[in-house]
Amino acid sequence: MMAVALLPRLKPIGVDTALARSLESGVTTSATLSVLSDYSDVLSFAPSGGYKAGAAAIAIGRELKTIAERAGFPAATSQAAKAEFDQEAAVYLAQVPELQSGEALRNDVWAFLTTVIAPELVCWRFPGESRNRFTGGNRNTFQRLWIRGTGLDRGNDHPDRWGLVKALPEDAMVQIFERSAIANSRRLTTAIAEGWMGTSIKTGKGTMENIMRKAIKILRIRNEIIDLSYLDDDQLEMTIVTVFESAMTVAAR
Amino acid sequence: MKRIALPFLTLSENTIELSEWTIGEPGQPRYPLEEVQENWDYEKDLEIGVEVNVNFEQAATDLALDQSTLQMAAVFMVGTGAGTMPRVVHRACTRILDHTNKNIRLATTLAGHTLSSQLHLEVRILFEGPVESGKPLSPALKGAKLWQFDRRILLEDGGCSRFPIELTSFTDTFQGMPEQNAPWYVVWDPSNFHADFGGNVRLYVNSDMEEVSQRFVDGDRLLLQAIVADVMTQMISAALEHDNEEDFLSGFEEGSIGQQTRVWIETAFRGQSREIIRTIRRKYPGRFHASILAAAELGSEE
Repeated sequence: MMAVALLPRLKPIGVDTALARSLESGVTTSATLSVLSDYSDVLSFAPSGGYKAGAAAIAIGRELKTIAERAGFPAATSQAAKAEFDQEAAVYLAQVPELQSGEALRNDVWAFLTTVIAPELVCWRFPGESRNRFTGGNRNTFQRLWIRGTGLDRGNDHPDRWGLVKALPEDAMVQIFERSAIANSRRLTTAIAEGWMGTSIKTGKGTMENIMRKAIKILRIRNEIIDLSYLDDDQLEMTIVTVFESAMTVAAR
Repeated sequence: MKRIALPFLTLSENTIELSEWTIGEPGQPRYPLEEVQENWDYEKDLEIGVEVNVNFEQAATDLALDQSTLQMAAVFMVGTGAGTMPRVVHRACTRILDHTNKNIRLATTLAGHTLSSQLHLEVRILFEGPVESGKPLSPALKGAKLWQFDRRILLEDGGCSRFPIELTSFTDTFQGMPEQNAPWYVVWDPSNFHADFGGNVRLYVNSDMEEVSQRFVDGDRLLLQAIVADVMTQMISAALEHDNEEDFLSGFEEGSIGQQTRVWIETAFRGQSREIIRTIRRKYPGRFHASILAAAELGSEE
């Protein structure tokens, strides 16, 4: 049986408290376990079912900071630097052993990592943006990257395992991962991303934003009628190719 | 079934019967499945099963297909994660149904460490075959959705999984902030109508106000109506700010803030166009708010 690393949790109400505290004391990435006692009044752990892993949260924050520094943090403010961080952090987070349990599905776990452990990375990645980059959810700064990394993982034995994570632009990611009926099935997310890749080779990336939006609309309707996840791999691939072709036709009008 | 109108014949409600939902830890006795799984944690794997009984003669009639060749798939989908929609879903068990195999059991073992907050269990009956052989309205494609039933089981965070509500001291939590003396406070993000309602809207009730918190705990209908109306007003107003998008709310998924807001608009302003509702809000704010308050009466709200 896998021993689950129980990560610190921060409720939405604790996010406000912690953000207010960060503003007072200056936003810094925490690198020591003392942060757990500093925030003991607003954080919690699952009462049982594993071992408390506050140190793991610190280590994740430390590694994310290293990745950010490689991308140019804190000086670089270009979209290219931030896109590089997003890609590398998504690949990293998808492979963190402590995030391969139900804990990673919890908003309050991600709220703690962003608000308490690494708020300065959030402020760098999304300067001036609202608290939804700190609270848990599909727009949380790190949670969205974990969702992308795990949702576009082609598998350990694939020669280009993280090719989808590195190829898809932000708009395509949002189209896939902010539609929960699609985002909750890894088979669908990878298949659609593969469809995006194939279509972008045919048409060029410049036209893909419009095509992708139309393809997702068609796929969502199709998925209401036919259980796409029930189709075998070949049938699913063929369905998605056909949908992208339809989207290309509609977009060309 | 969902409200979407499917473009082919589907199974009537009484064609499929589900029974004997059971749950238990491996090697332990099975119990009837209830809404809350007490004392669960990550170390507890769960075995879940349900009997599926099909009236095959009725199924063939419903679908206008030959009973002797009709094949359907009974699929057990398991999702997990807090919120209205599950964070991850997988197909846990599949059984093929035909006229000689019409009573089956769907069962699966779920690794405890992969679960989170709640289980979304769904039984789907899908079309398997024969493809393209029936009447024009018969289902013709493999995987066509013919029938579905779902239920949710809370594993932890009972209150987080539906409309998350929390009693809390505002003096402690919001000291020195404008909301400190408010009877309740709704936290949500108006920039993301795609977000799951259950996972991204949270209502805090001020436990420092004894009368408010007691009436809330007692389920006082007027207080709850006022609170629900406040939530509705905030979301409807935010949605109406998207001035140039008449169909702004039409594309949101089941369980999202956008979809819930659309339902509330339809309840409070039945049959009115978005432009007319905006006009009511601008020129007759009293009527705008009263319409929402009326729609928030418990029992009216979906």
